[in-house]
Amino acid sequence: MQMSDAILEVKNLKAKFPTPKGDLHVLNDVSFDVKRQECFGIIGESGCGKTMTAMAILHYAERLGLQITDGEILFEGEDVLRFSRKRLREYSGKEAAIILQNPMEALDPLYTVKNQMYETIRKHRKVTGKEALAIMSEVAEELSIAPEKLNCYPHELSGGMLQRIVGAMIVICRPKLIIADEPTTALDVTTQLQYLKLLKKIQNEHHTSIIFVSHDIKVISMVCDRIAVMYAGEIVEIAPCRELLQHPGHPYTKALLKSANLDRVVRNEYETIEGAPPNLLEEIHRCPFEDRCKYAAGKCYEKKPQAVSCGAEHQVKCHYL
Amino acid sequence: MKFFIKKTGQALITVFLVSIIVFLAIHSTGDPVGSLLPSQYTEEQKQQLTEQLGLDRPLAVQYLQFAGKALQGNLGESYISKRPVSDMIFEKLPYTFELAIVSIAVAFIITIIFGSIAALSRGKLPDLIISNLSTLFKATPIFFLAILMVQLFGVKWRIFPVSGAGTPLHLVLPAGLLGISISADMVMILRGKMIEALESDYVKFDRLKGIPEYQVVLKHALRNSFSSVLALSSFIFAHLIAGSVVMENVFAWPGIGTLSYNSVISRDFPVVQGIVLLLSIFTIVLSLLVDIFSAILDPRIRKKA
Repeated sequence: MQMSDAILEVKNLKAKFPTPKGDLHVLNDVSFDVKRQECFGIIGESGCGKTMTAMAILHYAERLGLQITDGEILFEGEDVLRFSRKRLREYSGKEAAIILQNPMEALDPLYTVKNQMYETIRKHRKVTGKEALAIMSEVAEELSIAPEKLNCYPHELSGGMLQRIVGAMIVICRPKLIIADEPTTALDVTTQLQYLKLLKKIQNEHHTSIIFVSHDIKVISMVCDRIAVMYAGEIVEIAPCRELLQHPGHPYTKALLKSANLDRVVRNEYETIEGAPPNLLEEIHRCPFEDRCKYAAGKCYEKKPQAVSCGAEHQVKCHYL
Repeated sequence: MKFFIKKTGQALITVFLVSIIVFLAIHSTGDPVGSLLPSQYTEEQKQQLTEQLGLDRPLAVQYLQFAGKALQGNLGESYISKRPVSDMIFEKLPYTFELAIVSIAVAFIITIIFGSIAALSRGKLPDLIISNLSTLFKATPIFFLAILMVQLFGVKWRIFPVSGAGTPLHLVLPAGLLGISISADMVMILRGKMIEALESDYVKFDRLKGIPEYQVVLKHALRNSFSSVLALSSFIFAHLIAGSVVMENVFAWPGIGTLSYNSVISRDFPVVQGIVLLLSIFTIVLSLLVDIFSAILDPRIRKKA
């Protein structure tokens, strides 16, 4: 088995979603890799395909009705899309795990937290009941969850605490890759920061890779080492976090950064991106951002831009750089 | 425990209110004296009978007398047979209970099995068959099915006895049919709730944690959807009672259904009153059981109470 420094490589992933009106081209040639112990961010507005990418990596997209038409997803060199059922059960939770957006709905309301945690440990780690309990309290302590919270039912706990518990359930199986799909969107702003710190702690202490999916540039730039910007089912720019913030290449990234700029908000200069993303019901053979782009001209309407390198690990899909 | 006490208290209050309503309802249907007297009667005879039955006293007094006696287990005497109503009811009650409990059990078993199968095979053949059968059973009057069954199983093929009670074989047709008829509604509710549960985040999260599918379905999806069905299931009692009156008459089941039918026809007020009161209590007790069982299944209900 090849052991590169990348734990995950997504190559030319294309997927469509059949609807009564026709196929929705959700993912159009998505490629990126995630290194070991890296926190990789995917940012984009809703509907840009970031969650579908996450689901595809976990081999769950087909369950949601997505058809993957091309490409491969290599997890430590193995193609996830070709996993057998048996291999998949080992992979889910044990090797790659996900933290969902809404912690209030991620746990079964009818069982205590402890019960659901126990179920997960017993599935993935060959331990006795007693050992499982010990592991549970150890992880709870690590994520600063008070032991008595474990005996609670989900409805008795706050969103922040539940998301912590979801985190604990995932960490307990020691996965190599954690996908965090908007893990802080449903939390209070004050709790958000705590949770981000917690994720970083998990990443550092367990040498985990994290894919952090969000629509919030501030949150994502706080935790990620590299960031991919997604638009209309494509990655339009990938760069290390600082580089992206300081030298954004793609007009969409620039607009995104401007719209989140607090200084401008203070001065009452709201920058929004006019218009809406393109209709994905048709295949797009031009720049997908063309009709919202201030700089669009000539080539933009005719052909799709290819990824251009502009600096170390910095790639942009734009005709005019 | 607190939950149990509170629910029981509520149930007792309901029984009290129901007894008033039953009493008033019966008395608002008219004077029974006329139908009890011979066709040629004098005013004097009428007066005498009215006094004898206590119908000349104010309604409130009559109610208190009725309630006071009812608390001691005395529901009065039948106008027709002159026997104590409680005796008449209690000799029939075991049969009705037997039919009701077996029917409910059949209904829940059918609901759980077929509701789950339909939800898991959503849009595919098994789902279509189950959904359409459910609609068919909902749309067909139960007495028609009952008569059909009597014809087929009793007369044509002679597989099951179709009249009377006593052996488990006697139960097959009436309880089976009543169970199926009750489950027709519940199957579709369970199917809907289960589809909802299977698409919920917690099921997604369970699957993504690598929990095996059978455990996801049985431990998580089924328990969640069943507890929602249970919470909605009080409506089946009306169905159960109406259905058992029909079943008992068609299959000559010696229970309360037959008795109540005959008493209504002959305007035997004390008997009707006794039966309605008892059925109300029966329904209230079943609701109480449902509440308690729902609370056992769902911690959120325990907390709300």
